[in-house]
Amino acid sequence: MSIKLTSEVVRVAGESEILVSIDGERVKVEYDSLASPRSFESLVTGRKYWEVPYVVSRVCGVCSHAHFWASNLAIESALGIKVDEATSTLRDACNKLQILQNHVIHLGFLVLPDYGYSVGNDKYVSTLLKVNRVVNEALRLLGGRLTNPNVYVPGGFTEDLKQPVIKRVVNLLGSVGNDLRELANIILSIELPELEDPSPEYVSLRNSPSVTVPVEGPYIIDSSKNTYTVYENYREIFVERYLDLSTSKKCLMNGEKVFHTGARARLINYLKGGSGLSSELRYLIARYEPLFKKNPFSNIYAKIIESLLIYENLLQTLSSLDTGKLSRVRPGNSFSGGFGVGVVEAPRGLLIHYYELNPEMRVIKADIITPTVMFSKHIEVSSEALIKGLLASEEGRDESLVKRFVEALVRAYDPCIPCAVHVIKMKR
Amino acid sequence: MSEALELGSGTRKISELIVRVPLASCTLAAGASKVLESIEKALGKLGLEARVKKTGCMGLCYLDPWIELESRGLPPTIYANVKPEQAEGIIRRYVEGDLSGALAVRSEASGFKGVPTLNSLPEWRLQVRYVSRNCGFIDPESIEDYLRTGGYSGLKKALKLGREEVIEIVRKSGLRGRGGAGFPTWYKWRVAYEQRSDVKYVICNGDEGDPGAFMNRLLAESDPHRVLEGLIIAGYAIGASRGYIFVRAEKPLMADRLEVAVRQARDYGFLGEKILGTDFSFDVEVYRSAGAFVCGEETALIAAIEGRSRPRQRPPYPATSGLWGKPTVINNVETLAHVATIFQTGLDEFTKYGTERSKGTKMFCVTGSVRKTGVYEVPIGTKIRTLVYELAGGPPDGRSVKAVQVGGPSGGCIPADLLDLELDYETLQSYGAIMGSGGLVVIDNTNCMVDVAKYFITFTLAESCGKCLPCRVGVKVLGDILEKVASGTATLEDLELLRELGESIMRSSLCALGGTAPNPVLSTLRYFKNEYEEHVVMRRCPAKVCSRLVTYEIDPARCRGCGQCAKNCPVSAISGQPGKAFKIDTSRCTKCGQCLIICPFGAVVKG
Amino acid sequence: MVKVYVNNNEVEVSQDALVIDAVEKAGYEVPTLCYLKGLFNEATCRICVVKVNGKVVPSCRFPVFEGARIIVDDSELRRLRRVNLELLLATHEIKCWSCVRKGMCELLSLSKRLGVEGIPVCSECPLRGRSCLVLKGFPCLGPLTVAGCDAECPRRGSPCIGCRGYIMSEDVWVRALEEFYKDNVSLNELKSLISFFWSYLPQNLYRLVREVSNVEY
Repeated sequence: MSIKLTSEVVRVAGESEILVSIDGERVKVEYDSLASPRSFESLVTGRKYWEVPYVVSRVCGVCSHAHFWASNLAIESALGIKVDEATSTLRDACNKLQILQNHVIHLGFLVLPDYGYSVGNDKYVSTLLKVNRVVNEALRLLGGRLTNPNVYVPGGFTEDLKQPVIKRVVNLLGSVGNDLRELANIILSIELPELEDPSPEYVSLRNSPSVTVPVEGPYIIDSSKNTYTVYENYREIFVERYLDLSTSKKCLMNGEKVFHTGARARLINYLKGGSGLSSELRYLIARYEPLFKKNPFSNIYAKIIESLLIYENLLQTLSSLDTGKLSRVRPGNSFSGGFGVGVVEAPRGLLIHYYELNPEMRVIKADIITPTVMFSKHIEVSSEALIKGLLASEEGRDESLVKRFVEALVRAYDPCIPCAVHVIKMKR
Repeated sequence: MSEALELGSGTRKISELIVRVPLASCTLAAGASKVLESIEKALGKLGLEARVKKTGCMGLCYLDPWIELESRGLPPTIYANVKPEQAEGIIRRYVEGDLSGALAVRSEASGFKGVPTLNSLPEWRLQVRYVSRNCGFIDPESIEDYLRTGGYSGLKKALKLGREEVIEIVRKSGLRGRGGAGFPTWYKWRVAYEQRSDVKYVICNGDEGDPGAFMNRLLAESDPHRVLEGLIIAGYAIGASRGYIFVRAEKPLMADRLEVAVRQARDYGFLGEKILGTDFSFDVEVYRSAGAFVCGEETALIAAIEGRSRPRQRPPYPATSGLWGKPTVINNVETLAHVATIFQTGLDEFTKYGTERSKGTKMFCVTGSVRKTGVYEVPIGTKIRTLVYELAGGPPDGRSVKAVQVGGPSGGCIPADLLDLELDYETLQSYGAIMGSGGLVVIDNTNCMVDVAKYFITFTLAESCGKCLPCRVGVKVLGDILEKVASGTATLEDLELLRELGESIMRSSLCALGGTAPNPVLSTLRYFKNEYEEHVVMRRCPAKVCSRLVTYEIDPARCRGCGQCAKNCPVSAISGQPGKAFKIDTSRCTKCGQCLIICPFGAVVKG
Repeated sequence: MVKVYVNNNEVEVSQDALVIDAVEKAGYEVPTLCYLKGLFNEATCRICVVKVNGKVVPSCRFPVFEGARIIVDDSELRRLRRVNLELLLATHEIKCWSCVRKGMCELLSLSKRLGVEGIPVCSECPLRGRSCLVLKGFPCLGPLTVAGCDAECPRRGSPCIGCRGYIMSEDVWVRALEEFYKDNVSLNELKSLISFFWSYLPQNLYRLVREVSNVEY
């Protein structure tokens, strides 16, 4: 197998580098992922359809459910299989649990230290770890394994999930409500730096994060409230390019706009029509909405609020879920080839999987676009704006301070946990 | 000690001629019964009145079958390798005073008519025939013969002493078990003596399972009463009421002779109720076992008598809880013979030989690549070189000694450059071998050390009782790896595995069979690593023994095309035309070696 | 009563106690296999070995004595136990998929404890008979994968994809391929799954797999 550096290569996780060059008034920021190519798109080529999700769930250990689910959806779409609602709900529940977990870990270990909290502070860390432990257990119950799930496959679940299991998940979840609120209090009391978003475009799945992906196909909306049906045209919507001399691709909306996707985008686009929300949450979202639209740093707030939202939503959905009989659909015998797209909301933003299958149901082409790739350009332009702002003030003289601000900004995006700790080089 | 020359022992009618014919398992195997027949015929033909005495064997096996003639005015004369048809001539010449053809005379004076004395022969002179003093010269089935040599005087002395004193004498002697472990004999006796029990047992271990070891058999077939006397003394010392002599079924003559000895001892009052007027009552049974190497191990031996057949984890040791749960002392045949002799001839006679830590003498069985196979009794501490070269005559012409295996399947190989080591328990152990029961096998340059190790492992594997894991499976794995080495399919990692596995087996086996089974492998690996590596890396057997690594070829320069090889090849692998050089098809050749043996011109060579 | 020292901790036991009793009283645990308290202690498996005054002995049988110094664990003891277990597994006909002890195998728990590999996932999988995934036709790699994960995937109905690594023993592969997979699973599908995490099989196993199907991987 030869590895070609073309648009077939996916890059996510690993280390990244921020290159900041300041030349007088001109500021240029390059966000660079240092990971060597992991060739997932090539890895699945030639494999049977049922093997693919197992491979791609290993793209990332902390968002394995998202990749697994997106992959399942794409394959089902290609094979023309439709799963029942209970299956969709359960898969969505797994994904949401992982989003919750990701947010909590990210905020607790990577963001709070930026704002004066030390991980050595017993109190919040033990709360955090408790939440993590509970979510791990819930994921194991629903998804079969903590990471790299195995219980649902293209077509449905491999075993009948019984009601007592669901009940236990509900109980587990219920036990961390207060802990989440405690964390929320801490996070929402952080003083965020001021920054004006230079490219206020926010893209997310419509009706997310509270509703499962509708059966008619994924719709995404942007901040102009345009909806796009994501199908084979996704490449026109999300154009990946090699910009600059960086080894990672950058993504532009419709080929031109730099955009953000993730918690902030999701909450902004969230139509207030969500039912069953507590008044407390409704109030929070309404209160912070303007901030979300304005300041990239507010992603931090958005994450914890989304966590509370997920918590409430899951409790509701799972409590009223009747697993009854989970059906499993097998692909038909007469398949003459086809392609499919799966779009889900991963913790960090939109995730797209695309596969083309031959009549033997083997993958002949695969494409994966990860959220980090989508918003890496947005990181760059935000960082440039931040630095420009800093240079114009007192703080700009202190190089180490500038560095810290930029790092804090990048961390606020959560460009995949391993990437959040990175190296900044400055050139004047 | 010759009857004809003995004076003052009473006015018994002494016949003119005495013919001693050794009848022991070894001489019988060499054809002694036919020799006996022809002697009886010859005596009848020559009209001589002679006493034909059946004796045991003196242990110089390479002389079998041998006879001894004695008459008034003539010294006892030994004739070696006698063929039945020679008997008449020998007897006729002897009575006329013509000793030509004899091996040696057994007298103190110097050579008689050109025949050397037995003592002048190195294979005799260098020995110290302490326990084997009677072997070959008395009738093993005659208690009178034994008594005449001082027999049972030891028992009489012992019975006059208290039990503790008897044990103390054994302690002072420093006698160590001659069966292999070299454990101080007195200690076992002491422990058993101190046990409070209504019933105690002593057992004579006559199993002698090492292949190639036969000194116990020789001793028991030639001088059984000595062994019995030792057993009775042991029984007295610990307060036993019953003794067993454990003999394996493969040695029927040994069992028969011991049974005869037991019966005679009873008749003479040395066994039974109130022996020799004391309150000591003791009787002995000869027990014939079904034959298994593991029975040489104490607990297995006990188990065999009990009908259980597998060794038991110790403790408890037999001295506290042995046969039927009673205190039991088990001693080797040779050990008991030493006990009897010590009491007969006194401590100094014993302690003047040997080393600081191991007093006395030991019977060693030297076999293999030597000119003079046999049983030699020498002081402990004798150099191996002395035994192999000066006593056993060294290897035959054209061969050189490569190593000496000491201790049988439980022992190790001492390489040729270490032959100046002393034969004592500690020295041998520090060099990776054990004294064992005293079997020495001399290995020469035509042997392959890997093959030697394989041989011993195959033996031990077959004899493993199967009770514990490391021996049952581990020894098999050792054997499998050795097989791989011998076929050239092993790797260097396999050699390391041999060592590691061997050490683990030794450390965690239940009994000494497993605990010593890896010894031959480990010692050959230690001293002959090069040979192993050549098998592995070069896929070659330097000694040209391992059949998979050897090819048989016909040298066309020497082949005369006689076709003998082809005719005798069992798999028809050789072809050719009369008069022209023949050829071996190596793909069909099974390396049996027949062609090499048959070829009159030496044209078949191993490559 | 006698005083003995278990890993340098003083403990008092009755005079006729065995070393294993002393060890347990001191709060330590020795791995065992053939030992059944009160019923069987013939010391045949040699797994319960400990050191008493430097000597390697089976703890299930060795009696205590005053002042005995007992070491429960050291690198040599661990090695001896491991070697003995490996020897046992070498002669054990591994057929976990149809074994009556499937799901409750003591050899497996001992292997996990001593760090020995060689028993497949089937041994810890509770599915048997008609619920076994292979017998249902799925290419589950349980029979060929190293156990230790508690069979968490097959347990939930998802065929094992071999993420813990393959069993090295060729015998197990031959047995699994010829006696278990052959009539139940499409061998081509099995091969495809084998090429998932195990694309670098050693020569001998690779050859085995090549023989059973005609698809290159």
